[in-house]
Amino acid sequence: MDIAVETRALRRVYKTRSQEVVALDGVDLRIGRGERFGVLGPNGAGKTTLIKILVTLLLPSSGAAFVDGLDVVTQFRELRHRIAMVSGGENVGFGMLKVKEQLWMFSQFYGMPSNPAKRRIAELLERLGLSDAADRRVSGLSSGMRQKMNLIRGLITNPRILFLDEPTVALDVGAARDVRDEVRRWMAEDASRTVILTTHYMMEADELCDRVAIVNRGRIVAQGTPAELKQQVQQNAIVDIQLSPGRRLLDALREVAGVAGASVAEQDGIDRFTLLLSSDAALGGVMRIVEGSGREIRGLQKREPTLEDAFVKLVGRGMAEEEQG
Amino acid sequence: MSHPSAVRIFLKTIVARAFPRFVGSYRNRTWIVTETLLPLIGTIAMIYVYRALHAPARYLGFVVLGGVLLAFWQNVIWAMATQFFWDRGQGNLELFAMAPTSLAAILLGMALGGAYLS
Repeated sequence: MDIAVETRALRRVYKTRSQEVVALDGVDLRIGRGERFGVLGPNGAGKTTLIKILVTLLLPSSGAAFVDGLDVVTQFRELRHRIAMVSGGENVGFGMLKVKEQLWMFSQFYGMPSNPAKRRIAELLERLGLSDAADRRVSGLSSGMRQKMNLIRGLITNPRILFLDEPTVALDVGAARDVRDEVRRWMAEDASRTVILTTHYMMEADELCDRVAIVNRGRIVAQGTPAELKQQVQQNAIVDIQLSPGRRLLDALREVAGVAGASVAEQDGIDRFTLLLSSDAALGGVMRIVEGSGREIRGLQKREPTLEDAFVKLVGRGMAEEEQG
Repeated sequence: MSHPSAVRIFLKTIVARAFPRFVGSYRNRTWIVTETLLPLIGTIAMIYVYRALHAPARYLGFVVLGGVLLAFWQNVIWAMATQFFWDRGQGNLELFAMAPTSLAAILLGMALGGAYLS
């Protein structure tokens, strides 16, 4: 496999006066050229630290990282010509500039000749449906338009490896789809391009990524294709239960014999529990807990496993899980 | 892979980073108060202090010149400092640091933009 990104025993420790926080703890990763690779993990798992090291914004405490064959510590100057990063919810740039002016400004930091840069910007604006906004001030853009502009900023310099950090966060369905479509199209143009994506949206990772790594507490707990990860929960029964609000149940459910994992997310005033059962018999114990809680059952379904279920099993909790359950 | 030379990137970065300041001077006119009116009041205050000290009137021109230069450099440095702080908060600094350019060129661009405005 031609390697685009490789890390060896990568470790990063943040030191404060009173404590040390291990953000990355011996990460070994190999990402092939031409891959769309997803990095998934709960908040504080180490995803952003990993990305920041790979884009030369942070130094590792120990270990090594190579991007496009270049060492991120010693060859960062050459590497910076070959990479770009776009983060979700970015508010970068200058609100008073017009969209095309802002994009031109960023292209100049890479030394692009002005006229080719302007042509490339016009082409990308057209492709992402932003041509009409080219002369609008950045401050007047909607969040979806702004994120498309940010994606264009990442693509102007034609990077070999594109890092996307939560690129569709807080976008509506249409804008998120446009961003994903553009990423796919950009990848399809040249087989040697690589995308490394962090996301909170499991569906997005499932849909967009060839392979994913799940990071938890600074370590990679699993990696493979979405299908391979889902296979890890294939032997489990997946049950979704919707309950009326009430007292905390999650810990009690996790302790029921036969429950391999549980997560909860609140939606529209209903607590939606997802349970991974090692056998259907565990459902009896679950129902006893639910009945004892006095909560009303609003719905119950058994379904096929998803990437989110694999995540719950590997990490022990859901990506969007809050502690209300 | 061939890239533009470091010198070319350096010069382009200076112009590009100064650009928002040039454009801003036309599109956002609050600088008229902060960078003209306030320094003018400061210079006038210096003249009054100088005269209150009963210092020789023939050197008054130097007080005006000193006040103007002080205001000029204060504007440049203050503008750079606030821009730098703002760039950090907005996330611009990360993008500047990630680009294959020099942070010195970024700072020079900020200074050039600030000098133009002053």
